[in-house]
Amino acid sequence: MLDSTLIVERFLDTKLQVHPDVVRYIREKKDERLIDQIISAVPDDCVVVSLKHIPGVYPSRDGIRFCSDPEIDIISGRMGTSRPVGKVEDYISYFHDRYTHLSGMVKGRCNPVPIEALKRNNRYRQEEFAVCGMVMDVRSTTKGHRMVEIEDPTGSVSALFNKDRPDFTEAERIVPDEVIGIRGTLSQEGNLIFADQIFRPDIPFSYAPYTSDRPGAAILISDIHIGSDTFLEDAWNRFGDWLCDSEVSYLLVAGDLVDGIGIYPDQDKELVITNIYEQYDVLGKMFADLPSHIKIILSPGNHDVVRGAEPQPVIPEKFRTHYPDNCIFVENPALINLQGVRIMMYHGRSFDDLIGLMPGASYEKAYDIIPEMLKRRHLAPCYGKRTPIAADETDRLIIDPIPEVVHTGHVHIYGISRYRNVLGINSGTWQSQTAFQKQMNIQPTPAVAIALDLMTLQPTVYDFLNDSPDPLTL
Amino acid sequence: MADISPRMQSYYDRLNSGLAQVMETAQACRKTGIDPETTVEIPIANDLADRVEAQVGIKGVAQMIRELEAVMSREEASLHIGDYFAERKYGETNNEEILDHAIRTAMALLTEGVVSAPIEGIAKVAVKKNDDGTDYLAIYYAGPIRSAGGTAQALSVLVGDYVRRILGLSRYMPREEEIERYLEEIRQYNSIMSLQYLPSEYEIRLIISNCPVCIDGEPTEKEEVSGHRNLERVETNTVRGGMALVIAEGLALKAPKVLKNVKKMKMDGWDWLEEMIQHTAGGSSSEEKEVGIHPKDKFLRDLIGGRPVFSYPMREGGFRLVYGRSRNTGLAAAGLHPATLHILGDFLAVGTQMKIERPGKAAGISPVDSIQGPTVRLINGDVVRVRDAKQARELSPQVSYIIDVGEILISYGEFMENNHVLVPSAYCQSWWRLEGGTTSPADENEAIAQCEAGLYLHPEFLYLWDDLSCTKVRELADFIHENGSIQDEVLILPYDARIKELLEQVLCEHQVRDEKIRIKPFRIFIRCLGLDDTLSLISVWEGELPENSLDLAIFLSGMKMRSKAGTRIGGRMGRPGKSKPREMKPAPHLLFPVGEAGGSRRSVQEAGKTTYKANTDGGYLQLEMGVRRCPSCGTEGYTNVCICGTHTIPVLSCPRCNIEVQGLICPQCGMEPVSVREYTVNIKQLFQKAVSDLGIRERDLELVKGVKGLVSRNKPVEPIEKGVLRSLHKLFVFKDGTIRFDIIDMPLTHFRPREVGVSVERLRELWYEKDIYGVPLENPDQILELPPQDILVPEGCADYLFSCTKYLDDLLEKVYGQPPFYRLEKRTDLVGHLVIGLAPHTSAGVLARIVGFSKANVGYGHPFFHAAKRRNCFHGDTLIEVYEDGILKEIPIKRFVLEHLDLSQAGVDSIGTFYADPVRPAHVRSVDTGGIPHLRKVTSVSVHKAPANLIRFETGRGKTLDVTPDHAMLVWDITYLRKIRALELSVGDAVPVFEGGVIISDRIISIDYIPCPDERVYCLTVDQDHNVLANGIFTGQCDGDEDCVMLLLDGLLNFSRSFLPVTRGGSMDAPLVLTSRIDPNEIDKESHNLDVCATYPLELYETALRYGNAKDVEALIDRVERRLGTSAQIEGFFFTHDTSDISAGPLETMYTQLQSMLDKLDCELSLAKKIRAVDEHDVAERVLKTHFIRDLQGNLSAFSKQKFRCTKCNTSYRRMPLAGKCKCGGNIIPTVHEGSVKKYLQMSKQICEEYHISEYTRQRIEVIDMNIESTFGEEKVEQMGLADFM
Repeated sequence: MLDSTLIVERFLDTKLQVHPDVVRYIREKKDERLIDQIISAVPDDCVVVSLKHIPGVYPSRDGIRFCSDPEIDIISGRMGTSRPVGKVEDYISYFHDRYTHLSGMVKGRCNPVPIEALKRNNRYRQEEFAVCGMVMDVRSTTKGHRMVEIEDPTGSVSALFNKDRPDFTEAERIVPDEVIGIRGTLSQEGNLIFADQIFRPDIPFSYAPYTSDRPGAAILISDIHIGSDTFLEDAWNRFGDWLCDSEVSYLLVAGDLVDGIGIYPDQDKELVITNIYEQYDVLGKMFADLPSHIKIILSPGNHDVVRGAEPQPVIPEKFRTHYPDNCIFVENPALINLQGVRIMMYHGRSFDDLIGLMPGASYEKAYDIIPEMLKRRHLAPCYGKRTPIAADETDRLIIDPIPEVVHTGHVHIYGISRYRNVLGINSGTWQSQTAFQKQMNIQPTPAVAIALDLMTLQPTVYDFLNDSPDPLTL
Repeated sequence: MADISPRMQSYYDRLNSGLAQVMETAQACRKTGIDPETTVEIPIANDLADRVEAQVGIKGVAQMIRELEAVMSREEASLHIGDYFAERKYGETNNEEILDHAIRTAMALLTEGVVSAPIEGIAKVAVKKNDDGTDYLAIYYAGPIRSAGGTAQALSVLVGDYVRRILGLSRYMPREEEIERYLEEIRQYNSIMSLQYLPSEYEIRLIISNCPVCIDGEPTEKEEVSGHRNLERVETNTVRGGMALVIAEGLALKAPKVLKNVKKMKMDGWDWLEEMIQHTAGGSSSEEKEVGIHPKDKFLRDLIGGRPVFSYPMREGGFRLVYGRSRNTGLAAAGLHPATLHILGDFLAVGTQMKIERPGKAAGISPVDSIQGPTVRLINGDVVRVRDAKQARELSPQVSYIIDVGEILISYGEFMENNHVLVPSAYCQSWWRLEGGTTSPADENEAIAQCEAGLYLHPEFLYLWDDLSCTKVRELADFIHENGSIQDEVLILPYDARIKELLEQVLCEHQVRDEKIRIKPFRIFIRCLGLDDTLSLISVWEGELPENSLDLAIFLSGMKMRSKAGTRIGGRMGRPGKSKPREMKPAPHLLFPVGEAGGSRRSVQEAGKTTYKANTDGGYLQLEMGVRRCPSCGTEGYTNVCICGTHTIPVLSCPRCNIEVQGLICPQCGMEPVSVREYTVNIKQLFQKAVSDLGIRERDLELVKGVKGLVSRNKPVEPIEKGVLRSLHKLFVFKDGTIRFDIIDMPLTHFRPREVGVSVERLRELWYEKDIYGVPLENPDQILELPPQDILVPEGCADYLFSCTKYLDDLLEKVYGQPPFYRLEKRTDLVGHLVIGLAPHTSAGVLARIVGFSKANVGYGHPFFHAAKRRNCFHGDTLIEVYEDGILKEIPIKRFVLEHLDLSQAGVDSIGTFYADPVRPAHVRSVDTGGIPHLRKVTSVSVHKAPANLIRFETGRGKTLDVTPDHAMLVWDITYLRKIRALELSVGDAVPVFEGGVIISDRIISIDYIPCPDERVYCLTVDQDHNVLANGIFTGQCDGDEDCVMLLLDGLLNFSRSFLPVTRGGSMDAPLVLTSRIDPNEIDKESHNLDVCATYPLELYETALRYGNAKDVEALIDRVERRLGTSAQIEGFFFTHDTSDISAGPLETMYTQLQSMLDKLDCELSLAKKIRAVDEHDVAERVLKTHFIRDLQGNLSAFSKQKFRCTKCNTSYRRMPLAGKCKCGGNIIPTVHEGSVKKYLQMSKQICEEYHISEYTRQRIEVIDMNIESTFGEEKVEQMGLADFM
């Protein structure tokens, strides 16, 4: 039977190592002959078989992107799209929309059977089958296996991931409310699936990023926290001067523009500016000092004055009086198109949940979480934990269409990661370590800006903590 | 026991004879055998020595301990024990056994035989070889040593050393790598479980190289040491927790104490301890000595809406401190004038808790009318000092402004206990008398005459000059000089607002009649202003004047005066006294199962009517009851007495291999034997027979309620007659067969016959021949001292106990065939009868005697009687699932308790435990004994002092829980749950765990002892089931703070241990232990600070003036601590301030009469406006910040993370399932509703407009309002004004 260890051994016989993505591709396709075809197609000087050696899988650019405004175009997250919520039906439709959306991506690869069918006829007792559903509850059993209860609109069933199976590391990372496909066999009584393979909506193998045809650079920052006594004024001024003499066309700020009021108890003792309007006005003046040709895109975070439940609406009108008109306010999350390059801006509040649920994840390596989001094609899968979610007709936290860059903040530690040609950038903060962070011994990486060259999609890191680096020229 | 005076001896003889009489009746009744046991099941308590012997299990030890204890201190006794054991008196065979016995007995003695853990803390004792061939002693410490506490640990090493010397073993000579191993291991252990104190490298090296005994240990942690592995003389490479603890928290931390004992025992080889003490002592910095105190607003910090503030910290018009202890005040009880209680809107009733700024603890309020009352301004402008409760009740509707709230009486003992700096006291009668004053002056002239004679001006005639500045005094004097006039002994001034305000600040009483201010006693007033009789400025004004206004008044008037203000103390209403006794909802009358047939009210009559098939006559039920066999005729049944009349004995059998078992465990499978069997019972017949036996017509009997199922091990049942009689007298039975009444206790040391409603003759019969001054008792106003075990019960409780005596008399007559015992006609006959005062969770009962009734709804008892309550509770971060205002959320218990327990208004008891009602109704998930989950109401929350260590349980499913050692844990016993002490839980026990809406059983995989990180642990009381879901595990909780009282006969007769859910070895509801005599030095230390002198010395007031430390005058003031061990430790108490009536002032607090939060808030804010000492804007802001905003923000964020609930089967879902319907078909609704989020929004906006709220808070309300609107959409309803709320 096709098993990842078997496949790896076949490749090792021919002294070839194989990339895990290729193993997963072969297992999904479930045919042996593909291994021989790949081995024969591999050029003899290469050591590791990667995706490009699989015949028929070419990284294809998805054609020309038509966008209404060549400079900047907000695909989703424009002002006013997030609506008030509160009725019961919204919750039903919200999860339903998430299920249909994400299961559509999985169905293509494992043609699942509705869960109700398992209980109806016992045809599935003997043979292997696949089901697709949203995780209701996940926990590890006493002996260390993973028990997952998944449900789809027709019913719910439990699946057991045996800890000795090779795919167990994936099973350990299952989080509540994500949509997965499971392939396995049914137990005798018929109410438990012994799962052996897991499918996630995931980024397709053949995805290739779309790069801009015109030169241009975007600066990605977040967590400015104006008004806090730990805001690094001089580092920001150096950053401002640096921007003036660099050729930059866009500045993206992903959340936590101001330190806000009443976010945590006794916050007024740590605030230099205690008036919320003043905090926004000071920020407005700071943006006004920046060169006016730079387009500044601002999205809210948990410290901002808007409601906590995501998707968060745009910063309200009465706080935006002192802002220059090159500032564009978007919601959180928002997908924007800079000269063809799509950037998904999300503040990243779901890091708190995901880091808690993923074994081995930590705030220092928060950039590893972005690939996990991409695998699930969802920015904040877990409901009911620390990320407040406002249920709407549609689920606007789904990552669709696939962006070139995912820009997040919130954890105050910058990091860059790449997953199947999608770039994950977590920008640092402009605030030094607060008393709370010292208590939790989190070491932030303040005063760092990440520049993204839109032509080559190469990120470069500029540090403004002590001195100003040389300006960016394209 | 210390010797006691003949008078007290006669008191105790009386008690014991009463006890013997009741015991004899109870024994006679039990003989009839209709109860589960034929003997009385309440043992009379034994003393410490017996407890130690029982624990250590070596016969004869108790006698030896009593001899040693009588002659030396406990520490020395524990050392001398070694001598006895060395002579192998108790059957020791070899050295190791001697060492083992000696150390274990010493440890048990040092921990007062209460905690059994130290016995398991010493794993084993071994004699090993030194490098030079000599033997040395090694003590192996295990995990549980933690709960023994640092001193006991250190002294156990000392005992070991003492005994090894006797046996001739040499000292331990450590190798170099062993010392390095100790260093690394202790540091690694500290990284796993943070130690209280991590000794420096130098100290550890010093201890190990010099300590004559090798401190070893069993592996307690999983981690292994990285360096220094596989040492020859250290068996294990894993970290030895016990060893690290004894060295770090024992020897290092408690070095001074060990040194003290070493000196006493003159043991050599321990002088290195001095070196170590210098090393650590050097570090302590001596902080600079700044004289004076500054306002502390800690008590205001978490203000709950609806509980008014009476005075801000150290603000004019606040409570003026007077030192003193009245008959009904004492530890954690302060005195206020009854008029103050009325004027402050009846919010403070007798027994209500009040949170005071200084010396820092909450205090219960009792009326004392020998201090000054409040000064108020009426609507017509008059300023009057209210002198008695009646006047206060008349004036309170006309009060427009409360200038001064009056004096507060706090005892010196409070300052001692909180070791608080003494603060200047307001000038009072007792101080005046100490400075030579004899008879208090009747009027002004006498007072002036006394001052001329060199005395200080009497406090009654003193004005409050401190608050005025000298210029204002001058302005006042000039004004009176120009337009004042005297007509027939009345000073008349034209009305002038400015001057009126100054008069009010000076607390000068005056009337305002048709635009004129009339001051009646004005002589002293004008004299202090430097005016002579003709109102002209006297010459003294020209000279150079002192700056301070008080000195100016003294200088001008030539009279010696002291400050009337002294120190102002802030105060706020705390927890309202419980006005109604706690009733269990479906409280049963009878411990007889009725199963489901009884319906929700478990009625026996209804059970009788159920018929399975139409035509059969009803009443046949399948009931699960115990199996009992009659020894004579051998028939088996469930009744306690067999048809042939002999008493039946329970038969235990093992459920798995169902063979009969005699011992505690089944020989085959080691299971606990139980006695349970299904019986078909015709309950209707049984009930009719019982009723006819009692000769009662069925018609005049309402509802007799049984229980759904029996939970005890042997499942005995009560005869139905008891249930019938109880329901006839409307009494409810507790789960152990007794009838209890809950009371809130307040301290009282003396009482007057008139207050307790008992005639003088009756009291004289009861032993009260003389009053405290030795005068024979004749008139009802004399003051009698209350011995420790006499109590006053509230009238409600007296009625309840009275009907209970009626029930017992019927029971004795009709069921047991004995003569009735009580035969009382009216309630007052209860006086003299014995009751058991009970602290439920420790099941320690104290024998007490009713000597009177208190009108207020509090039980008055001697401070010793209320002492020593131990509590079981959780570590702060334990997560509990709380269902509150529609949200089911999991929050740390610390946050839940602190949110609900406003520390500043919580009730406090003598051992520093704060308990309070939850502020908002909240439910937690709990499970009944049958294993069905319920949402039960939280009845009270409490914060307790943390014990030294907690126990951490880890279950197979990865759940962990930290609880105090004697916490009640729930354990699965096949089908039902039983309570077991956390100490007794062992690895492999199955505990109920809650996952995904269903209760399953989960095995404990590891038990660990961890030091308690912070010094507070938290608990809550849950209604009915008394258990709560914590960290996913169901566990018990403390049974709240109520004391309760039960009749002695009822206790002895009806209490049966077999009714209780029995646990393996000693259960949480261990049998009631009845202490017949309170020994003051066995109760906790707090009550030793009670001061019992008649007057305070002058030095107290002088030290207070210069903010001296409380300890400076400790020797001069007679306190209980200085009387311990003498015969005067329980009698001859005195008090400094008398009060006429201990139930004066309002009996029920206004707080409980107002229903809605909005009414409470209106009252609070209007009162705040009226009191000068309170800044209403600040009150409004604090209410907003601590209560409303926190509530709004909490609900809003919870709305977007809320759980869902099915209407039909109440299963809760983490999120809305895709199917939109619950498995049972019911539809699913959210748990957080829009209404509950917006509850306080409108009121908060209202407050923002009316009061000057800080810009920060105002904007926070604005932001929350915007967020709510953006979450729920536009506000449809129109603006409502405050009038709508009126």
